[in-house]
Formats: sequence, structure tokens, C-alpha cells
Amino acid sequence: MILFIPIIPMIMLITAAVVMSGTITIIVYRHLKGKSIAILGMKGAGKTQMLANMRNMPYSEYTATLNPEKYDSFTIHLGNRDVRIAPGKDIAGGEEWIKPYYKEMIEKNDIVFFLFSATKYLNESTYNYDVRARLDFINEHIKEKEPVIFATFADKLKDGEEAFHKIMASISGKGYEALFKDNFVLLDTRDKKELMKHLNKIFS
Amino acid sequence: MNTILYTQNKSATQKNTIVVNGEVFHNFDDEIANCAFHYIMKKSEKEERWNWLIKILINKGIIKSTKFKYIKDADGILIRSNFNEKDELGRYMPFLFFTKEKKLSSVNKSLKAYSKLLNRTHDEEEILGLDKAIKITLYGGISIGIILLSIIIWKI
Repeated sequence: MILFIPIIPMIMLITAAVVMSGTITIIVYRHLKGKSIAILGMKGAGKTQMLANMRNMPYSEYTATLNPEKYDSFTIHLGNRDVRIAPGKDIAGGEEWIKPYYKEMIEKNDIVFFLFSATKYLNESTYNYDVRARLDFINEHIKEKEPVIFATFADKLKDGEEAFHKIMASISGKGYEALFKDNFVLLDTRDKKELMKHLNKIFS
Repeated sequence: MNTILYTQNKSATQKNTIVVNGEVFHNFDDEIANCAFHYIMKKSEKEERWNWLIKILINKGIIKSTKFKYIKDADGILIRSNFNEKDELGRYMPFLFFTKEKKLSSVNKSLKAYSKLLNRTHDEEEILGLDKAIKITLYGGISIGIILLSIIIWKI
């Protein structure tokens, strides 16, 4: 009881500080361990950019990915920790790649990333429909694994928090809702610092 | 499959395009499109030719795309490069082009015609420059070989 008394005001103080600073963190991380990754997602969502940042390499050529491009094993430096990532393939976002690659990549890899453009998802119905179709597919094959979902181009959003809630509301009650339970983040994949911050939590 | 051109389009909401023997497809569930897609993908996984020469041409700026691919087998030639046009994100739009033609100059002509179907243009210098460089390397190698052989015979 003696110990309990100062805890209450402390919690209240922390809550007040967080609310007043306006930095309410909605993201709930589920810590994941793994060595192989699958980066899936929509066309132009930032998959190759994210991979380049993970590998600490420049985006070699500003062009879209059309056919699978192999990458060697690499290490992600997260503060004083190193996470070794197995060799893999950077696959294109075209829907014709779903059948030949998605199932295998979801099943074979430890961590599945799925990227889509937050702005397009919220503003373009065809895009929105396609994202949902892919989420359905992932949900069907992912089984016990939990994906990391990045809604990208967060820098293009006027109000990130509002967008977050809109996206969450749009998936509410859907079969794939559980995919968003943990590890759903609004992100600008070009922002390497921000990406590393999230990876640090995901790979911890 | 005589000629296949596979490429993306300007917007992320637009489906990719595959042109098979002059016919344009956006639906990859179509049997012809699907078959061509798998065919060109398999071809693109084959061993690349003249890699070292392509690297030199990239360094010299003759080939602009660092992802340029040249694959040649008994069936024909495959080229992977970029169109001169960009997508909505400002990225050069890449393409994969397969043709049964055996000469790079003919490949260039055929690609030009196929690109026109999609209102695109490609950098002709990339393919023609590679063609020239391969010829110089081959003929240069043969000439040096003949000279060396002549010297050896003369010395004997």
C-alpha cells in the first residue's frame, strides 16, 4: 500500500505530459525475432526504398522494380545491436506477382512486411480495393505469423493521426483486421531514422 | 512467343502492361498474357551475357540504366532497361523485352516499334552501343589472335 500511493500520481503525471505534448503513441509493437524477411506491397509503396535503407545502401537507380532482384545477406545496425538478414528477393508490386510469389514468401520468411501508400489507400477506391484483396490473401496464408504493416508516404498526410484512425476504421470487422492488431505503422520509407526506430522495436 | 514487351504504367493504380506479338494486354489472367508473362520471367532469370562489357558501358555513360540486362539464348534476346518516360513518382519506367531476333540492331528496331504502341521511347544508344562494343571486342579479339598466330608461325 505504501508503495502503491506514489505510483498513482506518477501515472497521472506521465499521462498528462504525454497528452499535453501531443505525442500519443498509438503503435503497439509485438517484438518479433527473425532472420529472413519478405517485403510485399503495392506498386510504388516504397518497398525498394525501404530495403535500400535497411541495407544502408543508396537507392541504386530511381526506377521501379519490374522483375525480382536478388539481394545478398546483410546486417541491419540498430544502435549497439546487429541483426543479420538472410538473402532474399526484392519483388515487384504488380498484381501478377501475387500468384507466383506471395504464398511462398509469406510461408518461407520469418517476418512479412506489407507496404501500401496511405494517401492512395484513403483517396483512391481502386487502390483501396486492391490493398484489401492483398490483405485477404496475406491473412489466408500467414497463419501464426504476424505481419508488419507500413502505410507509407506518411509525410504526404495532412493529419497522420486522423489517417491512422481512418485506416483502422476501414479495416474494422474485416477478416484481416487481426493483421493490424500489432505492428501497424504510418511511415515515410525515405526517412531512414524513423524506419530504424521502428525496426529497432520490431527486431528487439 | 515471338516478341514480348512487359512494363509498368505511369500510375500505381494502373495495372502493368504486357504486349505479346503486337497485342496489348493489361489483364494477366488472360491465357496469352499469363503465358507470355511466365515465359519472359523465366528468360529474365537466365545468365546474363557480356556483363563486364555492360559495366564498362555503364561507367562510360553509354548505357544509362545500371540494371541493364542482356540475355541471349537459342530462342532469342532479352533486354531489360528503362524507357525515357517517368511514372507518377518520377521514376524511370522499366521494361523487359524479348524477341526472337538474333541481331541487336534488329532487336532495337523491334523494341522501337513496340514502344510506339505504348507511346514510349527507349534510349537506342544503349542497344546500338552494346552491339558496337560487342563487335569491336569480338573482331578485335579475332584480329589480335590472327596477328599473334602469324607472328608465331613466322618465328617458327
